[in-house]
Order: sequence, then structure tokens, then C-alpha cells
Amino acid sequence: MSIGQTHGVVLVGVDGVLVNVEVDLADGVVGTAIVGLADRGINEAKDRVRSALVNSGQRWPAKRVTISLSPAWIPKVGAVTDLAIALAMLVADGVIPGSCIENTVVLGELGLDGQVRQVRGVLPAVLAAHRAGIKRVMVPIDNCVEASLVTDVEVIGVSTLAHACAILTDQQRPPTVHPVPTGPREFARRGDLTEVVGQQLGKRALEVAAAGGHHLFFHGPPGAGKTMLAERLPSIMPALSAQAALEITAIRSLVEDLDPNSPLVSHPPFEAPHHTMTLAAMVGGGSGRPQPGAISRAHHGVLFLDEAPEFARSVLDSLREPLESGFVRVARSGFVAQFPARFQLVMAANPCPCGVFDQRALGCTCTPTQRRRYAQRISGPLLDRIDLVVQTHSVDRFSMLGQGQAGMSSAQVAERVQRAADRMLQRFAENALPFSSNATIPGSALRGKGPLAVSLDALKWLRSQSGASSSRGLDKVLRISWTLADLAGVDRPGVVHVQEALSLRDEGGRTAA
Amino acid sequence: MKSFNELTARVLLSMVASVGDAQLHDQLKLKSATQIVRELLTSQSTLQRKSTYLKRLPQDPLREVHDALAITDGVGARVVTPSDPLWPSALNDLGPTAPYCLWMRGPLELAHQDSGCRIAIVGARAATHYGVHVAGELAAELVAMDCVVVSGGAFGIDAAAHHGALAADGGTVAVMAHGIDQIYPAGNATLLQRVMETGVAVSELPPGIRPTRQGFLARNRLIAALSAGTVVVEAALRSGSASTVTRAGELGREVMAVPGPVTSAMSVGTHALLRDGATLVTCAEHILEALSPIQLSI
Repeated sequence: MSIGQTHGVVLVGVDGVLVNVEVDLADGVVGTAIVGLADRGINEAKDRVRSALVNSGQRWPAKRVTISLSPAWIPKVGAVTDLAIALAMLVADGVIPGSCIENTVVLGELGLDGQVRQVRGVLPAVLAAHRAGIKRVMVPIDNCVEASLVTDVEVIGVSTLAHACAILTDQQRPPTVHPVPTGPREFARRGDLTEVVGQQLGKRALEVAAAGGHHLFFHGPPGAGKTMLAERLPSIMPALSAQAALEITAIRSLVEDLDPNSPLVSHPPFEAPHHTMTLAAMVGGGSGRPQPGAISRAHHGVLFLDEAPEFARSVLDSLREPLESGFVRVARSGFVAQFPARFQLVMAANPCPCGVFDQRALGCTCTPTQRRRYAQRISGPLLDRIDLVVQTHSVDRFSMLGQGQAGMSSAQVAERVQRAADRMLQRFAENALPFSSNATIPGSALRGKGPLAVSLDALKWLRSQSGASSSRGLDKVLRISWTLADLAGVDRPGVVHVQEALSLRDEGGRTAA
Repeated sequence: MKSFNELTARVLLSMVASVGDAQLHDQLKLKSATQIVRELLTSQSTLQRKSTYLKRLPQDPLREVHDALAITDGVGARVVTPSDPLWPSALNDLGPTAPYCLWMRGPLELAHQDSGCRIAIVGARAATHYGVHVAGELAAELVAMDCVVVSGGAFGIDAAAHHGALAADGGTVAVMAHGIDQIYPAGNATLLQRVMETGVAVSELPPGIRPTRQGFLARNRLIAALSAGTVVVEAALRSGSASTVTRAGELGREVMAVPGPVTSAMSVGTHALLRDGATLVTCAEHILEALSPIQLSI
């Protein structure tokens, strides 16, 4: 009996499951079998591994070869287990001792010439290995910086199968991994706030959204700058925590090849899916291994839905649960993949389907019924989760001619936002409150007598306003008031903050559903 | 064979005769409706449009009318004619375009002055939140001052006006452009049911008639005539409210409009009215101030 054993990782969502790769060389009819819910990509592995072994100066034993991937209940996808199979084969064949590869997770795709190629999903896989108590991982050389983002795990980067054998048998030292540059905050961003002309109200709404984590809805005619504003939200959002950056990078790692030298994504992502997108593209899914959807790619960042009423109703309504829970589950037969999805929602809508409905309404061909239907496409429950509602108008001539006040740069606003966010988190910490942002405070905490009650004057003033009649609308105004107070650096929202908050919930010009 | 009486004759006229047939109205001043119908059925009519009317005539006219009255009873409505004490005399100002009879469904009476001064609040179907808010508030303020709010039961401003009046436990009148047994638009079914519980729905069309474009325009004249004044809250450049205020102006009713943001497309129509001399109103006091003593007595 000669059995070789190595470990790999199979991803389920952004979580990974440790798999045992076993190779058994037995007497009998010469042949190769792979068992354990392997997909096509893995079944092809035997051909890739055979060529890689032979072209690396090793042999493919003329025996009955059984390759087993366990646990057998998880479907295994892709070529990421190639290297693990090859090494298990070498152990089984007695080329390398089994002891030198114990407690090591091996990830990597093999080329026919024995090259070890970059693979996706290394970061979540290494995170999973770390959680399972693994202390050493072997990854493709182009993935080794990514793998080393996980602390407390020894990373061995290998370029070829022969290289891997040489390292394991101590003939060669593993290459040193350069630590990840964790320099100053990265400002490689999509544009700066100074490029937005006019739109003072829109910019203020962005600032409040960034500081308090409020979802935001822009209404206005095409060309008023809704997209331009939304794109600049990531540039003023508070700095990401190390944990958040790691989570974002783990998701990125599933959908694209990361930069081998600086894989860490340290700025909030911005996702702007087109309105024709499917439900699976929004929440995640796809055949085989479920891929993260737009809401997960926007984790800790911004999900921007331009022309929001044009999205399919089911796609829009699929946002409701993730908005509440911060994650999404994609069910498959036999397993459920979970992806994090704590995103900030920014929606934009035109005044009517054709978009040109303005004072003169000359070019507009929409009937009143069409305009009402357009406004109705976004369901009440979804609108309930949006605090800030702002009308954007076409840029006024005053601003266009450059006569207006020069706006603040993203860096300046980001600084204010950071201070406000720190203040907010400190308040939550001091009062032992379980909230992550002002936007997530429940109404009961706002209206009671606790630490989050606004000043009595402010509440009295607000109650005197006939426009703020519904209690739900009132809660939203109070939440915004808290963020405004944080931005102003005061301890408790007063009348001025409540007044400004009302102006940031301007539903007046929107077609009533 | 049973014959027609004043009521059944007028119901038949409302089925076959055109709105605003001046010759028919002249004859109605001289003869009874019963006689006019008898002449029509026995080909002795001198009406110029008699051939059109005969074409529209059902196979068994009397039976058709009785069926219509049965449906009317079935939905708890009643038919009133100009000789009825319940007839709203304000409609007589329409002259040749006055309805032949009126279906009413709901407890609110429109005949007597003590039911309160009637004010119409009309406007866009695709109203903005601003318009909906203002229309609702105006209606609530008006009923608090013992007025009755008249509107057309449509989406948007109309619905907001009815809602506002009902919310303040006040009277409200929905003037329909279809048979009294129909509910249109279906999305406003709950609202219209509530209007008919405490206010009244009125229509000049016999049961079974579906709403048409022409029907809406004809209906607008009833809104204008029934009210001492008409307030337009929001209207786009082209709007059905324009026909209501034109008729209101012709009838000597006050035409009023609520301003909005000059950047809003839904206020272009109201601003045009204001430029043409409509009275600018922003609250119920403004509305009552604008009405002359004669208008107040309508």
C-alpha cells in the first residue's frame, strides 16, 4: 500500500473547507480515477498533472491510481487542486517524504510544463486554512503576497512543480515574501469632489451619507450630475479598517486576478451595475461555484444604481434583506454559500421614463400614468431603508461660469467625515450601543430618553412641522440630525441640525407613487 | 304597457342624448321629458339629432331603463332630476349643458346650502409629493372651515384632496366620468368606497358606462359647476385641469391656483393660470377670502 496525502481548500462562498487530497497507487489494471464530487476542471487535472510531472523530470507510475478528494459532499471546482494532487502523487510514489508536507495547505494550478500558475480565491482559502489551524501554505509565487495578508501563516511561494519539490526536500530555500506595503491611505480614486460644479446640496448629502452610513437617493433630470456625485462617494468615506480591507480583498480575489505585488484593496469599492442586470448578478450565484454578486463586490463600499426604476422589480427587492442583515446567502443543492454584503446604497432616478420631463416638458412623450408607474417601480419597503432623498437640478449658470464658491476637495471633506465617524463610533462605544452607524439606529432609541435622544427643542420644532408627520419619516430625520451633529462636532443634535436634516429629505419634487 | 314618467324619461335621455343639445334643452323648458321621449319613440320628434338618438335607442327602452334603475338601487344609489328637491341647483347654471339627471351614491346632500360651501381641488394625476401634500392639507383645512371638497376621484391631486377631507372627518364629493356602479381607477377603490360612506359620488352617466376621454372632459364641467371655486394644485403644461378651470371661469366660479417651485414641471400649468389672472392661494383662508358673496351662495 502506498498512499500520499496533502491538503487543499475548496471555497464555499467566501468561506473555505479544508479538503484531503489522497493518492493511492495500487496494483491492478493501469488507469486513473478521481473520486469525490469533482467537476470537469478537476477531472481534467489528471491529464495536466501527468504532463506536469513527466515534464518536471518525474514519472507517472504505471499503476492503478486513485485520487480522492474528501469530504466528498462538497462539489469541487476548478484547477486549484492540481499542485496538491501532484505532490500527493509524489508522496505516494516515495519521491518526497510525507512528513515534509504535513500540516500544509497546497494551492495552485499546473501548466503542462510544470509551471505553477496564479489562481483566484487564495486569500479566502488561506483565511479558511488559518481558521482550521493550518500554519503553512504553499501557493503560486504570484499569489504569495496575497496569501501573506493573513498573519501567523508561513507562506511558501513556488514557481514550478520542481521548485516545490526542491523546497519541500530542503534542497532550496523558499523565496522571501516581501511584506505588504501598508502605507498611507490610497487616493487612487475616481475623481475628486472639486470637479463637481455647483450641486452644493448634492455634495452635502454625500458628506452626510459617508459620515453616518446613510443610504441615498438622487432625483433629477439626466445630466444634472447624479452619477458624477455618486462616483465620488468612495473618495470621502472613512478609512477602511484592516479587517474590512481584508474582507474586500477576499471577495475581489474570487472574481479577478489581484495585482501580485500589492493585492490588498485598501479603498472602498464602487459598483455601478447596469439596469439590465439579472438577479444572480446582483446577489451572487451562477453555475458551479457561486460567484459573489454586485452587492458583495460593493461590500464596505458603494452600490450605485443609476436609473434605479429601470431595474427589474425582483432585482431591486432582492436588496432588502442584505440591506438589513449585511450578508447574502446563495443556496445550492447540498450547500449554502454566504457572501458578506454590507454596502452603502446610492440610487438615482430621472423624473420620467424618457428623462426630459422638465418645466417646458416639450420633448417629453410620457403620459401621467407612465410617470406614476415609473415612480412606483421602487417599492415602499426599499424606500423605507433610504434616509437621504435629494433633488438635483441641472447645473445653474452661476456655478457653470465659475463664479460660485470653489468647492472643497475630497481630501478635505474626507477629513471631516473621518472626524464625524470617529465621534459616532466613540459615542456608541461609550454607551455600549450595538450599532455600527447612525443609519442603523432603530427608531425606538431615537425617540426615547436614552443617550440617543435629540434635544427637546429640536423635537418640539420638528413636531410643529406639518411635513414631518409620519413616525418613520421622523426617525429618518432624527438619524440624519445625529450625523449632522457629528459633522458639526456637537454632543447632541439641536434645532439647526433637525432643520437641515429636513432639507436632506426633500421628497417634494418627486412624483408621488 | 307601462309608460314613461319624468324620472324614467330623463334616465332614457341620459342614455341616448348628447351632452349639451341646446334644442333638447329648449324643448325641456316647454314640454315634459315624458312627452319628448314619447315623441321620439313614435317618430314625431322635431329634434334635429333624433336619428342619432334613435340609433342609440335600446331594443326595449323601458326595460333597459328599469334595469338601470335596478342596478342603481342595487349599489345603494339614487337618481335625481331637476324637479327633485335633492337636485343641486348649482348645476342649473350650466344651461344647455346641464345633465338630464344625476346619479348620487352616498349620504351627503348637495341640494341645501347648509351642507357647506363646495370647493373643487383638482390637478395632475402624476403629482409630486409636494402637490399631494398641499392638496391634502388644503382639503383638511377647508373641511375644518365647514366646506365640502369636490374632486374627480383620480390618482394624484384628486385622491389627495379626497383623502385630506376624509382625514379631517369632512364632506367630500367625487364626480365620476363613468356609471355610478363602476369603480375607477381600481387603485382608488378603497378611497372611493370611503367617499361613498360619508360623502357622495355623483355621475350624469347611467350604470354600466365605462370611462372615456370625452367622458372625462364632460365630467370636468360638473366639477366646475358644483363648486363655488376651483383650486388647481399641480398641473403640467398640458393638463385636464385646464378644461375644468375654463368651465369654472365661464360659469362665474372663482379660479384659483397654488404656486410651486418654478423648476418643477408639475407647476408649469398652475403658474400659467396665475399669469392669466387666477387667484394665488396657499391656504384655506386665501380660498374663502377669494370668493365673492354670490359665489359663496352657490
